[in-house]
Amino acid sequence: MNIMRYTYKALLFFGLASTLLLSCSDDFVNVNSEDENSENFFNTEEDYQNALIGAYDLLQSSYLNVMLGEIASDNTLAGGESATDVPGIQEIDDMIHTPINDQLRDIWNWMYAGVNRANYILEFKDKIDFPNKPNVLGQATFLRAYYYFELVKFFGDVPLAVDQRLLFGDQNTVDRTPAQEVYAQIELRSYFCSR
Amino acid sequence: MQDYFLILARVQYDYKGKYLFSGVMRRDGSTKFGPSNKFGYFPSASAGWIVSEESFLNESNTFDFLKIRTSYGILGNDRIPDFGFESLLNGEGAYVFDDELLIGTAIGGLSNPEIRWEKQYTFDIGLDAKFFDNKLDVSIDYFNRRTEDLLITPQTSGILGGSGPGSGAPTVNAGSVENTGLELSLSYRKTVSEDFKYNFSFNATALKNEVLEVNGESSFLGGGSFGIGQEAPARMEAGLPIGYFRGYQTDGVFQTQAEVDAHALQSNAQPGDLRFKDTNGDGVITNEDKTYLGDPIADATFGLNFGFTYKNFDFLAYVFSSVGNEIVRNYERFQPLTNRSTIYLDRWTGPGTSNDTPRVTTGATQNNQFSDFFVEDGSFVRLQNVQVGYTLSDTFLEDYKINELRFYVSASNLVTLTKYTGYDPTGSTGQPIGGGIDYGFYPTPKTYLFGLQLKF
Repeated sequence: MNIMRYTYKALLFFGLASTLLLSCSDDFVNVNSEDENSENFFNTEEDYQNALIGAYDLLQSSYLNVMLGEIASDNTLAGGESATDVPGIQEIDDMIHTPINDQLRDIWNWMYAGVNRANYILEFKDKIDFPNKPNVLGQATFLRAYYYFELVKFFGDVPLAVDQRLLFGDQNTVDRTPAQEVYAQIELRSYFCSR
Repeated sequence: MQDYFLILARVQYDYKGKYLFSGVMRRDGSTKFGPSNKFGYFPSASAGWIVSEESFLNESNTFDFLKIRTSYGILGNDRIPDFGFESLLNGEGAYVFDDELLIGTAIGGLSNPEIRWEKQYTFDIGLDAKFFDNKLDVSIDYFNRRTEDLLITPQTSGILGGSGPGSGAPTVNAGSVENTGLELSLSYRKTVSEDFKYNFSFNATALKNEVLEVNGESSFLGGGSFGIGQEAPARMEAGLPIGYFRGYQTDGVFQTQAEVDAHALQSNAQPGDLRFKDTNGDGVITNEDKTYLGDPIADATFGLNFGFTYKNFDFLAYVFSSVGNEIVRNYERFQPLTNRSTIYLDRWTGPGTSNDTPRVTTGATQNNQFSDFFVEDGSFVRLQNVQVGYTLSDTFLEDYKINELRFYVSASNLVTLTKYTGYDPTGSTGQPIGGGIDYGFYPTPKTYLFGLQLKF
């Protein structure tokens, strides 16, 4: 019966050890990142200004909007390394529309990245006050309106988010908003004209 | 930055040296998951029966040793980037205002607060046996490995803003994959005489991989790349092997304009072009007609080691083989002044000239779209390593206080037998979705080594 006795002892030991370890060490895996958490931001005017630069950044990606618009016209013939490079651009040149077009998807992705960065600022618009705030929020509202203008122009009905980011999980639930409503939102002069 | 916190309890029990049991319970904590998902419980158990210890086999001359064993267990995997569960300001935001580049702040990779441990459920049953005075070792295993809550970073809807600079798609628990297989290993060693000894060992693994479930935004996850700006050619999709190749299936080459007219509408098609199959029968060739063209997972792999020593000579060889894996040729260029593969010497140049290789043109053509024309059988047998040595053991060496002097010649990657027309059938990024695509990797070189070993 030695085995049984050892088993009891072992179980007792593990039970005690586990209780002790559990009670004092689970915090060991709670580690904070060196990077700032996005939900604790917007504590100074500088934070707002920095986030605004981030929202402006995506304007640089609108080169493709201009390029595709030009390629769709009669002015330009799409080319590249060979006559079959980048099927998405070739399709637009030939006025063929398929559900899969990597370049149109880039426009969608980049313009929505801009929308989300502008909405990030507007989501936290009431966190602190400073004299220049209407100006900052006005710029953010304009940028969002611009990005939405590009989206509604290319895609018609698009999911509309106002003063809140679209977060992971929302992509499964959010619906397309009719283009008319998107245009109406774009035309709202909430900050940059009324104040 | 990563910390683990592990508690492990293990029980082992051995009854009369015949029946073996063991059980392990692990509780793993990882910094990579959010507050509510940090910890995972991973139990496993195994049992073994040493049949050769039983009285009814004690007298047997056939078996020197026979053991039947089985195990079942769950393992956790957290090999993902840090802090995927929270949203951090480590993105990039920069813009030029008044000729000055200003650096701002932006959210980095998208966060998924729900990520949790990936779990691998493994069942194994096998036997180990020894025969002929322990000279022959045999071991056979059947295994079933089911990975659930697979951690991957799939393409995610752009509306979340993951395409902004410095951002990226979130890591998600996106499905389950099953690997079922058989493993066999044999090894034999024999001493014929004092002067002649030899040994060989052989192992074989047969594997079947199937994706059981993909629970992302769409029914599949894409990966890899082909050509310039084309759709991702590899996919993870339920019912098919992970990372399978999806593209157009070809059905020869159009010989005449009449054949083009008779076929389903295929844009830009001319005589001499590849004929794509209208797999859904709607009379027009579209993305929907793309289908399974193979996968980069080998049906079976084999390894063979052989060695002998005869008097002062010694010899060693290792052969490896992979069978039933497909590989994608994605290194060719189609410009006017670039070199082409020799298969184009026999290309289509007029009706009846070729039904395999399409015409060559600088104009617009669908022939460069991803199709089975670019998918080849990647099976191969390779002599990985051969070594021949000779050891001097003359008495004159003793005058120089040398115990042993051995000369050897070693060659690796000496011969590869394959039907693959590219440079090296082993070229792959090794990614689960997007592996097996040959982007023109620098081929594995042949290496010869002449050496001398001295022992004092």
